[in-house]
Amino acid sequence: MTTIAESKGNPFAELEAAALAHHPHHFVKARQAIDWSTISVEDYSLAVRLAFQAGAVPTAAELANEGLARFPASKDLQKAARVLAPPKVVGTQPADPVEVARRKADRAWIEAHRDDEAYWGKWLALRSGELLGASSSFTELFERIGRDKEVYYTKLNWGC
Amino acid sequence: MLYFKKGETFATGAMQYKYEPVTPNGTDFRVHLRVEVDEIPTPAFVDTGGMYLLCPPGLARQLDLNPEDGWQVEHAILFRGSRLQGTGHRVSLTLIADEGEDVKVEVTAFVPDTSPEQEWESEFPCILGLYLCLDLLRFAIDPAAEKFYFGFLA
Repeated sequence: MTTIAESKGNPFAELEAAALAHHPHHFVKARQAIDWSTISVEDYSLAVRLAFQAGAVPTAAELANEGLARFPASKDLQKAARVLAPPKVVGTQPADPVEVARRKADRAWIEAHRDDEAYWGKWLALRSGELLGASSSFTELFERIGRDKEVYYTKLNWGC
Repeated sequence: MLYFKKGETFATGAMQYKYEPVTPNGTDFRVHLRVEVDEIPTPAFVDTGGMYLLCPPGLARQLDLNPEDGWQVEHAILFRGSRLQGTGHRVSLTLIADEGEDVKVEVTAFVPDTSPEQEWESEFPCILGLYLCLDLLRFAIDPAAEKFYFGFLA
């Protein structure tokens, strides 16, 4: 299959090789050999993905931002830059005593049943120390119990 | 809660953790926490050698994370020797305090694309990597009390 890069005289061959080998240092080095001022919006998108595949995630973020500065209308580069942005502080709030008690009750249930073979390796749905269901399939259990902020899905072997 | 010698705060919250294997009867021990992702309580373990938050497909379904809204990458995730296609999103991660303060951060999450019948999620909870996930936080553990301390960087 011919990639976008190959159709343009293969300026990204080294980048693709680094991505295939999952070699971030090779990717960073190969990036420096490319004249990015001539790179199209499609190839910027490709380069961001190759960087990510290579494991050069900080470089992927840099390329996404560089590309977005040149091609601000690109939806794909907007998505990439947003996803790869540094973590952001949202805020803090004091521990909620009701929630602390809820978690403590769930932990107590897990502790009390740690050696119970009936539940070992299975997904559990707990709410305030009450077992709502158990299944070897998360999907099956989730479809049965449903989406609820107060329900905690976990497994015994994780211990919490 | 925890302070540097000069009085600057190191950690503002603490929660219980468990040091347990990821797989039943396994030897792959990790620090397991209970966190919230987009307000949904979920188990997670800490992987300082990893990057971003690796979100099990089952949790992604709980969160209604639509692949079409995310940033899709083929062969994105190298996971236990396999390359998985994945979709990147931004989610909120809350470290929930048993003592002190919860802290909430917006982080990068990747969801492996698997079908429900593949049950990838059966074996793994959320995985909290360092870069793009925990790197805005200070954290420390007290193995004697099984406490995980956390707080924002300065």
